Amino acid sequence: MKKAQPKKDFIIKQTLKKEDYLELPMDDSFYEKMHDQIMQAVEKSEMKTEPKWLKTRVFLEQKSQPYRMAYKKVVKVAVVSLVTAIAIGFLGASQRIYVAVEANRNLSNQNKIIQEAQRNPQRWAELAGNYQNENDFYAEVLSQKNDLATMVEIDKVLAQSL
Amino acid sequence: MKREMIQGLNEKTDQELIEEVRAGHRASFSELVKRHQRGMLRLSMRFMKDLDTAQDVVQDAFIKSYEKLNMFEGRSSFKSWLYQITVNTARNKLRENRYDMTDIEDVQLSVAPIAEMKLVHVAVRDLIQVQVDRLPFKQKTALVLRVYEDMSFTEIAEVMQCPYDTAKANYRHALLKLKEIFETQDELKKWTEDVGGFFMELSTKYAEAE
Repeated sequence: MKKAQPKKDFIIKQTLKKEDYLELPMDDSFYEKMHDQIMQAVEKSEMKTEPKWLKTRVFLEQKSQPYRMAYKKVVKVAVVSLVTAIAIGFLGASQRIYVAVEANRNLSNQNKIIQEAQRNPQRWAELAGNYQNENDFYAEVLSQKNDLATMVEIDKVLAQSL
Repeated sequence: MKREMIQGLNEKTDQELIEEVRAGHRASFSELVKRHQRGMLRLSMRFMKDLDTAQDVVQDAFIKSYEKLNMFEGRSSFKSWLYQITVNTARNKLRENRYDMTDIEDVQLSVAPIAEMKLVHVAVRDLIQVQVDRLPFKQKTALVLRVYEDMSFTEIAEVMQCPYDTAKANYRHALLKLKEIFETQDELKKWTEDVGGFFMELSTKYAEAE
């Protein structure tokens, strides 16, 4: 595609050139006359004075040109780095937030189970009875998290209630 | 003596002549006019279509350039600066005169069934020219400078006082518009079949590229 581009441009340029309608006078005397007319008009004109700041501005701009190029590059690199850093930061933060939310949810689930078991041991015993063994119950209740402390706590509650 | 002086002027660069004009030597400006008047007239004719009006534009452009010569900062070439003034003057003149761009519907292409190839060719040439004239001013300027003046995009950007990419985009859009017209205009298609050559190749290349 890219290679075809200059060729395409060349073809259309040649086509337009080939079909160029423009016919200009070739006679030197025509251009001499035109030149004389222009110079007559110029003779009547006055050159405007140079602004005082012009030379200084041009000098400063020319001097600062290489620095400006370098500055542009630095700014470009800085912007790209900043965007990348922000993206990575967001990614890390979202992961941490997800982990924290999960942990919090698990903890609150465990607390609820323990509280519930303490509040109504009879119901919990019935519930536990629906399972073939304790492990199934633990597996169901604690499927969210393998927390040894919670398991021990519930084990104690269930032992008391049975 | 005079001959030596003229020879001396011929050897000088535009910038050296400008410095002399700034120092009060009007004769040096005469040399600048001689150097650039043909190119400026050619450029002006592309927009104005009429030799007298084009000459007026060139004259106005030279007067403006003389008056503003002290403002020429030398960032671009003198030629680019002059062309910039010429294009702006031409545009203002067109606005003033409210030149009507010929509408494509008005173009008569009543070629007899067994027309001579030359007549068909002239009609096609007119048709292409009408299409070029119908382009927006900036696109046309970019196209004219690139195709007929063989300028680089950097120079075109200087003349048009726009960024490099904008100059390039204007040129590309002009080419794309012409391409569409070449593909849709019956007369151009017919001519392509009769004459063959560039348009056929152009269509093929575009089809290959896309």
